[in-house]
Amino acid sequence: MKVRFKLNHSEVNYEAHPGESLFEVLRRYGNYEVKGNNCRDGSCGACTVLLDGVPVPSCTILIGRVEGRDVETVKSLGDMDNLHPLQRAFLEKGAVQCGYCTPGILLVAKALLERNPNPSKEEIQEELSGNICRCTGYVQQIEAVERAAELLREENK
Amino acid sequence: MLKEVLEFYRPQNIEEAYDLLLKHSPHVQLVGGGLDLIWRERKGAKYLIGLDSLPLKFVRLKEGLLEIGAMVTIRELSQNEAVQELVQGAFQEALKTVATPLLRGVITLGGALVQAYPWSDIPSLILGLDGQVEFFQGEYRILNLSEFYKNNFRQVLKQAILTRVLIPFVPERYFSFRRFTRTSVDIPLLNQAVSLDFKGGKVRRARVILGSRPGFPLQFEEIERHLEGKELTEGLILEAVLLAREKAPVDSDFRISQEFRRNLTGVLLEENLREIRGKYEGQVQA
Amino acid sequence: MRAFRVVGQDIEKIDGRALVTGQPVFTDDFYLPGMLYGKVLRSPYAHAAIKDLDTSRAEALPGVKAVFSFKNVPRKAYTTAGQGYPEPSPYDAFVFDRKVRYVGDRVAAVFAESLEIAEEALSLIRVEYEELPAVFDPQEAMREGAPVIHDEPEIRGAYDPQRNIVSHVDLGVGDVDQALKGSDFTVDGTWETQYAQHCPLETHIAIAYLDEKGKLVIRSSTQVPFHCRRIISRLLDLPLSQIRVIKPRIGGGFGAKQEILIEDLVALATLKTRRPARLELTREEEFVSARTLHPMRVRVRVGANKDGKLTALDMEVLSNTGAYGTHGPTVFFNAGSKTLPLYNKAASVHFSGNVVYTNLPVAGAYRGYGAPEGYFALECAMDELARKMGMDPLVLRQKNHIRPHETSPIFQKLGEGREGVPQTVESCGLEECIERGKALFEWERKRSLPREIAPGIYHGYGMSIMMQGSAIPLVDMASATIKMNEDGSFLLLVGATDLGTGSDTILAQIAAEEIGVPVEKIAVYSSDTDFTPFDKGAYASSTTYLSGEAVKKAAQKVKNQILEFASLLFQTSNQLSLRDGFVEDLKTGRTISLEEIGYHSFYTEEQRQIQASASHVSDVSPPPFAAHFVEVEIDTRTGKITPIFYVAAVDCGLAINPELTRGQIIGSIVNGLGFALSEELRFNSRGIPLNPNWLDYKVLSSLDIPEIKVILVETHEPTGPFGAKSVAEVCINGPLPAVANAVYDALGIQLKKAPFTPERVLRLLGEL
Repeated sequence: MKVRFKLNHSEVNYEAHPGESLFEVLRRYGNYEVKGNNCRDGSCGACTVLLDGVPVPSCTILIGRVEGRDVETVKSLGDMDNLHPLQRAFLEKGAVQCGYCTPGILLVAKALLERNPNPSKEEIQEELSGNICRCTGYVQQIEAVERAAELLREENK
Repeated sequence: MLKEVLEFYRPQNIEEAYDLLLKHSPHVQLVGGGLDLIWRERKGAKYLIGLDSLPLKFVRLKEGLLEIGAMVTIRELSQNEAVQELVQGAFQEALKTVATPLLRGVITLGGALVQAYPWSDIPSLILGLDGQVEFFQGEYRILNLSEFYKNNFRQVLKQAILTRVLIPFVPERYFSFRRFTRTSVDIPLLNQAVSLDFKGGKVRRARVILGSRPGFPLQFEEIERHLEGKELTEGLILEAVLLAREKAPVDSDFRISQEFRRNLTGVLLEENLREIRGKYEGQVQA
Repeated sequence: MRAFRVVGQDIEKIDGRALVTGQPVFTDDFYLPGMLYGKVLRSPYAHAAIKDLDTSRAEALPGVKAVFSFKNVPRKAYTTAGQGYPEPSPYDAFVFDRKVRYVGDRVAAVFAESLEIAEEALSLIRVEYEELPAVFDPQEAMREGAPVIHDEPEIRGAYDPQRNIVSHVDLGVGDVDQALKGSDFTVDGTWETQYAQHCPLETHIAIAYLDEKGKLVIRSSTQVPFHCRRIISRLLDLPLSQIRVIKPRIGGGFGAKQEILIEDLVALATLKTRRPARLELTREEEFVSARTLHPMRVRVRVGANKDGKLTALDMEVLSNTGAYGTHGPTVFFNAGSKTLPLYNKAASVHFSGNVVYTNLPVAGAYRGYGAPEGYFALECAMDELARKMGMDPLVLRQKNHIRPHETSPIFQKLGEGREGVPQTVESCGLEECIERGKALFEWERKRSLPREIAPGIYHGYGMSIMMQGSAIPLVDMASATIKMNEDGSFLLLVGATDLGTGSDTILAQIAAEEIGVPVEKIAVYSSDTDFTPFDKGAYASSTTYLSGEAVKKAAQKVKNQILEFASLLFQTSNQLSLRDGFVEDLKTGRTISLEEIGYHSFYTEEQRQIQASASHVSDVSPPPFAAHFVEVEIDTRTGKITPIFYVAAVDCGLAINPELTRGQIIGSIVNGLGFALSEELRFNSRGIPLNPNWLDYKVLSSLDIPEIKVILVETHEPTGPFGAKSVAEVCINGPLPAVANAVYDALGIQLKKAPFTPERVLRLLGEL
């Protein structure tokens, strides 16, 4: 089947098997910024993308559901030459170790900050709790989101 | 990949969806949140019917009823202003503890009620609030969720589409929900919904639902009877807790033992009742 | 002490930008046309002989290009352990055997044009099993008449396979029994740890292909690229020079990837079909068929006299290594070698025990490498001893822990599965760790508070101290090559393996500091067996300490070459210095930029390539030290333990990059808390795992962590680069005993079996 949707604000038209997940299709088309093992569980969150602005595990979304919708990966945040404050904050705070969970967590944080530009530490902890990180122990990631919120508030002054 | 799947339909209205469901029965599956399909891929469905284009995404307050479209996600419910109105916000607070923040963006209310995993929180919640479900079988039917679950619902759902969930607003209804977990983000190893309607300072009607027992949610009628017609005093709470521990209809599974579940039934009940009492007394004083 | 410009700074990770923008840097972010997808058929039985195996239907399925089993793969005993040669692990594995030894063991492998075809092909393989009696308890496995798990004649390096014993040791100094008899106070207890899995977010994955010259290239998520190359070479009878192993970015290792777990299969597929071949473990396979922690029963006997000094220390270990013995002996030895020297005041010390096969998933290397299991027992025993003596547990530690310039006979007695290397501890900041940790935690004030803070809710306060090592002395070798480009920038080539730990960054910092340039001038390439010089790999906390010193040595040589060349250019014998990218004649003040030097050296005069290599082996393994303090809340109605506040004071010498160091410390603490609170892989009576998934194997989430404060206590390790030691593992040793001790402090119950689930707590309280 053909599925037409917006990927990072550009329209794409992907060919897919109707039983494929969004994760499988994205990676098959070389969108390697979406990491994950295709466990189709949704429990670890590594494969998180934004679907109409909502963070979801892409391995649990059947591709047919994506027609006409908006998908964002970490590419929508920034690139090597132009980092989003979230990306800068993660680097600044040592919140990236192996980096495998990072794209997913950045998107969850993005959605949070869009909804709530001044989240408390508890609110950040809560929002990140669907994403597993085995390397950092979360502390520096929470600090990074706080820092990013600060950077964004400064930018928007 | 679900390799048996031949086609993914995107019907634009309920009648179209229903016709497809009948046409391709029994090798067909409705896709709400889609999690069950992905988790139990060996179901062997050849035809998938996506429900995203159906007008099933709404939350409405109408004539003493909270109407929720079946495709509304738990995340949307947990952020919706109308939902906050129900039972002093206790329902919304409970929704925020279910699953994980990520999965709440995928799980739909309809999907959760229809799949009804025994360890799920949603059936317990909606049963505790006397929810009703509307489903389409060529025409629309409304049933109390408790009735729906009694009547071989999985069979019925092979040829029916859940469309709305209706939760009544009852003045003087107070609600509390607790779940016991291993870590902060977890399926419940036991959950409990308590709903008390007060009149004249006494409990006019009680509803106590026990879920993830590990079995399917049950109404804990003995506790309900014990609470009804009485003032919610400290003494009543302690009595109820003892009774709950003694009579809890719970079992063991590989996760925790029956004894522990019994114990927990008492603990959760105590917390639920104290919370309700706190809210009720606060309201009465106000 | 000179002030450092680059080391000791929070330099941003040099691969950080690529990671936060999701660049295609992981093994799987890669595709070659014609790539085949592999799947492994796994045993449903814990112990069975394969009477017959028919792969013909699978081979006939369109799209299937290769099927492997014992029928078509040469039989060679080997170990999957990624260790130096000769590996101190038994050679008890085969690529495919005629026998399966645990549920999840390999039976056959299929490579096909799609994953779906490969999966279907698996279901077409017919296997006739003869189920054999299985054994799941290590004590049972040693008994007369227990099923022999490794009865193959080719087995080498196992102590007594007929009794399922992989390793056995009994050594010490003095006479512990005598000493204990004569002690004023003794403790004798046994502590037990569970099956736990590393849960790296990226599972094991490897892709093999033939390069344009027909050479086998293996791209793998591995901690040990060089060991992988060597072992594959031997296993498949392929000269080393015809194999290249590349490690891209890895999504976590923690020891699980110190194995040659799946590279043999993709190599076989590529060699047979001449096509690229990919194999990725599913999450379930990662839980069951990869590697795990070694569950251990550790008995500790310790004695002390009224003066507070330890008289005797005895540790006896029963280690369950699962169906194969990879890392079995060495993890076992480490349980003693990284714990017992900590209390070197005990004149009599004894270490003994057995490592035993069972028909359960295979235990391997896991961060801490036996020390977490050892410390659980030791640090709980020490608290118990302190209680008997009526002494503050901290004071007992302070009276007995090792101090600078001291040694322990255990360093010599216990090495990597064999004798060790004597050493004196030169840098030891443990005293300061205890003082500063205790102060920040408010140890004394907190322990004067009532423990019940609300009806049924208790707070408890516990601590533990610990050490680890830095690389394996006289065994581990690391090397580095540095070459200068004409623009004054450098290329640093290291075999060292960055698991996400940040070692590329640390090594760049060391090179930059030594040469005298900003870190931006150093580009790092690592872990390619063709293009980078040898490094033993990322394990035993080696990279900062060992690889770092190799880098420093190479950098020093390069710096000298630069200065020498500059002297030639200046035609002077005056003293020159290199700083901030410039060489300066200290007498005349004349300067020349590195870029000028570079261009001259390539094109103009006295042309040469400024480059140098260096290797490093250490004859000591200086331990990092730490003191941990934890406050926990226990709800005695449910038995749930919640950590509230955690202080870790850590001595790792000089922290080359404090923020990255902090990340290692916090990450290992949270993993250790997982061991303490909720992580456990469980099995039914037939050896079938009950919870090989995220749903029921509970790792901690961002909501489960306490407030964690890290104190870096700086010491100077003379044998480490700029005074640095390692830090990657040591802190995983702290949480198990600290939490157990805190719970005793609150409730007077001794948690001796991990994890401390709510139900276990309630049973100990007598509530269930």
